[in-house]
Amino acid sequence: MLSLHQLEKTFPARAAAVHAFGPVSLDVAEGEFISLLGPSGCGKSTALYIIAGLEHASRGEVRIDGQAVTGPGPERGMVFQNYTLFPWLTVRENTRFSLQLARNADYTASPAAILSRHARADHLIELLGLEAFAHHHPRALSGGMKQRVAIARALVNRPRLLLMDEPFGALDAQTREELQDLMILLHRYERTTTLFVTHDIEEALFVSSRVVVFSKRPGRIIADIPVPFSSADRTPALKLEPAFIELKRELAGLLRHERADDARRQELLHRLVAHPTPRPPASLSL
Amino acid sequence: MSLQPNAWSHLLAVRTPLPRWLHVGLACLGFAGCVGLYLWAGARPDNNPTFIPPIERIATAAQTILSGPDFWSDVRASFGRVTAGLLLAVLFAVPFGLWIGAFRPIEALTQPVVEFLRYVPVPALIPIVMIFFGIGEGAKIALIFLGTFFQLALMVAEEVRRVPNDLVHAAQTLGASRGEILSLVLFRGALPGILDAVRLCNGWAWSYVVVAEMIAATEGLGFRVLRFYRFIQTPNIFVYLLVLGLIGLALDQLFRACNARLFRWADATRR
Ligand SMILES: Nc1ncnc2c1ncn2[C@@H]1O[C@H](COP(=O)(O)OP(=O)(O)OP(=O)(O)O)[C@@H](O)[C@H]1O
Ligand SMILES: [Mg+2]
Repeated sequence: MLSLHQLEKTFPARAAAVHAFGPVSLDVAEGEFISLLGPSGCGKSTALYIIAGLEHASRGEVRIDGQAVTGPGPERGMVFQNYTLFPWLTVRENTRFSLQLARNADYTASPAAILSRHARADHLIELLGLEAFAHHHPRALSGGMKQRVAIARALVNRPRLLLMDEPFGALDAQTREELQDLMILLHRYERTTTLFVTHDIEEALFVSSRVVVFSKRPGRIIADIPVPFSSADRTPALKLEPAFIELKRELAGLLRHERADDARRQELLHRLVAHPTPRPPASLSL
Repeated sequence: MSLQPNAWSHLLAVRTPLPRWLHVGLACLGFAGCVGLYLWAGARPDNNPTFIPPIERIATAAQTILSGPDFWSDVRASFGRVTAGLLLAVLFAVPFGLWIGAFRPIEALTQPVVEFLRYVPVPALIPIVMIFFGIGEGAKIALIFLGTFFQLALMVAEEVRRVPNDLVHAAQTLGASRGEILSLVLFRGALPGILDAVRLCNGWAWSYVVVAEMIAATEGLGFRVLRFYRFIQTPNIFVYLLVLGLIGLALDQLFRACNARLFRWADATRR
């Protein structure tokens, strides 16, 4: 369904070009939920932007259903790392944004079909637990709420592919878990092929059917691991299962290998341990 | 609503919000201070009442002026000129600024020229405007247009540039075309800032209209002020200055109120 072929990105710069990632080749089948895991700065966001068509690849190509990607389009929905709701629209208007665009208009559709698209937007609002906020503007929403709306907005038009760039990165642990559960539920119902970028190992294993691991920059695929759990298995208890923990250990080992520890830093750490900073006298800490 | 005694010093902490009553009270105190200063200067033995007339004389002058025929036609004339010039400027500067802010080639082509033009002092344009448009209404409207168009176009462009790129990206991944990005994202996102820019331009337009009217006009607030000067009618001049200030203040408040009412969504990011 989605295929990356020898995809590569180098940012030209006056001093020294930054080789962000690649070459990377990947094939994604219909309905898969793939997590892209990798250390910070390894080019995950860049790869996602290229697949979305928001950025040009330096080499290689992206194909969707055999068609080469040349620019952004509604068949590839995206949820961003930052909050990107339109602040002047209410939650409901935000989710309906794509329905008013000429490119998504089907002039042969019956009035009933058009209405059903609006009904779908409302249905998603409900599914994501946003009805009470439907008429609020984004500034009245918490971070978790905002990302829920962004997910609904991206799904309204039934994209072929959903791209998510660390969508829960800025959320607290509890909200994060809620939204992970929600993603599993949504994927069960919608079956949207999803590419989910994260640097959280547990999150990757919990939500996805396959984990692709990037090396440190320039990112290359160093592992491609199927996750054997069915969507019915994916309850909070799963995180304590030995099979889950075993996979987590394996991935953690891979990522630890990719850490950018250098000799200089090691030396500094050793010195700190050898000569701890003296604590201030107790009388001062009043 | 009452403040703790030690809260008074806290009020001068950076960006501390002020209770409403105190805000209004301080604003009134500011005006009262001005009146006090005027009274004090007028009461000095070395004051010539022609320079600083007693307040009663200003009040009587105000009564005569407000009941006379000239005042309202002056207000109407100045107001009409400002409105026409400003509307014309908004009509052209908003789309132009949108293009400058949205398209880099247009920015490169026009922004330096516009930057240059906006620093030409408006009163210096009066002779050239009179050569082109004569001394009729057209000349005054043209002057206000020239004085505000370039400023407004650049301010609109700046507001458009300040719409986060992420919002443009989000719209693109939802299928928005170039035109839709311009109208549904960039214009909508910049709208509160644009209204604020129009508010500032309105203030400048009032200065320009007064200058224009002093040079060539047969009615209008600026024309009348200069006429009072010819007859050394200081109380009348003060009445007109007060009126000009009040009109400016009222319009400014009106623009602010509109902005707050229409763009409540922007509260968190602006102000
Ligand atoms: N526009 C740009 N110009 C130059 N270099 C860039 C640009 N965008 C990204 N980079 C560089 O490319 C590399 C990859 O960036 P990217 O944002 O894709 O990383 P990431 O894997 O998403 O990291 P994180 O997990 O921190 O979000 C980084 O080293 C970054 O500095
Ligand atoms: Mg990133």
